[in-house]
Amino acid sequence: MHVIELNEHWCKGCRVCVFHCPTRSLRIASRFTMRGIHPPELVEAERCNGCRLCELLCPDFAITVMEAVSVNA
Amino acid sequence: MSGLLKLKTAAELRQTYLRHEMFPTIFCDGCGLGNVLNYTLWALDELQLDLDRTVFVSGIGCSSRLSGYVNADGMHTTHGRALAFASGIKAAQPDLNVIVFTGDGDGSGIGGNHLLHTIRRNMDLTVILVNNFTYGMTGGQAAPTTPIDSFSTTTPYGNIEYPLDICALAQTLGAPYVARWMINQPYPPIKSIAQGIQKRGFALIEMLVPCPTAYGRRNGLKQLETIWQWYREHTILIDDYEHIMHFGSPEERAALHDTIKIGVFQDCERESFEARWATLVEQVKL
Repeated sequence: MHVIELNEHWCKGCRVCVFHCPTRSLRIASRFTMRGIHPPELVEAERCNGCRLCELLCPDFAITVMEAVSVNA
Repeated sequence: MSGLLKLKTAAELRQTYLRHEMFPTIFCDGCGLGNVLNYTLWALDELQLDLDRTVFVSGIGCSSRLSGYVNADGMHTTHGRALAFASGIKAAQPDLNVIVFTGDGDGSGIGGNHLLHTIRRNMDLTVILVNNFTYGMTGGQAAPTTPIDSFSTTTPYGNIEYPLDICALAQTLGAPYVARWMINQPYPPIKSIAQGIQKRGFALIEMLVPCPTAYGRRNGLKQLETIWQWYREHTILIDDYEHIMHFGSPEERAALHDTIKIGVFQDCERESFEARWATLVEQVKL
């Protein structure tokens, strides 16, 4: 399981991460950020394989992919 | 380069290398300039370069804003003269790593003569030349690299001039490291920039960057997906190109007519200006 952390002040909602995602697990959210743009969100957390392509391709250093670790483990 | 790249997370990278007060970036949606900065920082991180001993120099243009985002010493110089200023820095302090961000209009148009003579002198610089086929910041005028028959504000009926192949020029002038990459694959440019920084001598890395606002809008590539896909379809690795040219059928070879070759074109050794200067100083000492 992976999660994405998004820096909402830096993301400009350009969708480069969404259309490059090889597993198609990202999509554009319907909500607005403080900058007035639609940010990407991870919809299929099980499908995401943690390839970090969105993190490497983000022109604004806004996305970080992290592995979700259970607190009880 | 040996071994796999060990990447930090982007959060760690931005803590170390970026000036937070400059963010968010000014670049348009779908522009790849942020990616160029991203790959340069991954390359710096791979080499563990000391930021206090690294200088970023840039000229004027969209691409030249990149030096302002890095938390290192930098110069934002006059139009086209980034290489002249960088040569000065390198001549005065040969132990600094000098990285130049320049654009196609800035580096090959306005400062084309500086490009020629800096390569000829073989200054130990790493030049990341961002090619978006147009003068983006000033409103989309035709640059020396604008492809033939494409539209811009100064060529509203189509460009009739042949474009300049910057990598071929650098190769002819004998630059020790010449490479061209497209930004939609992250790892080759990161490795290439790292090799360029390590190379003692002039390293030219040309990055093809989509410009949907100034170039794409007038050439039917306004949508982000369309312009990034155009670059993916119109670029070919140099190895594949040579393979098809050697073994391919005439139709396959004809299909490569308007594709852009990417890859490392030249990787050789040539004594740099600093090395020759140090030898000369030793020789003529009284």
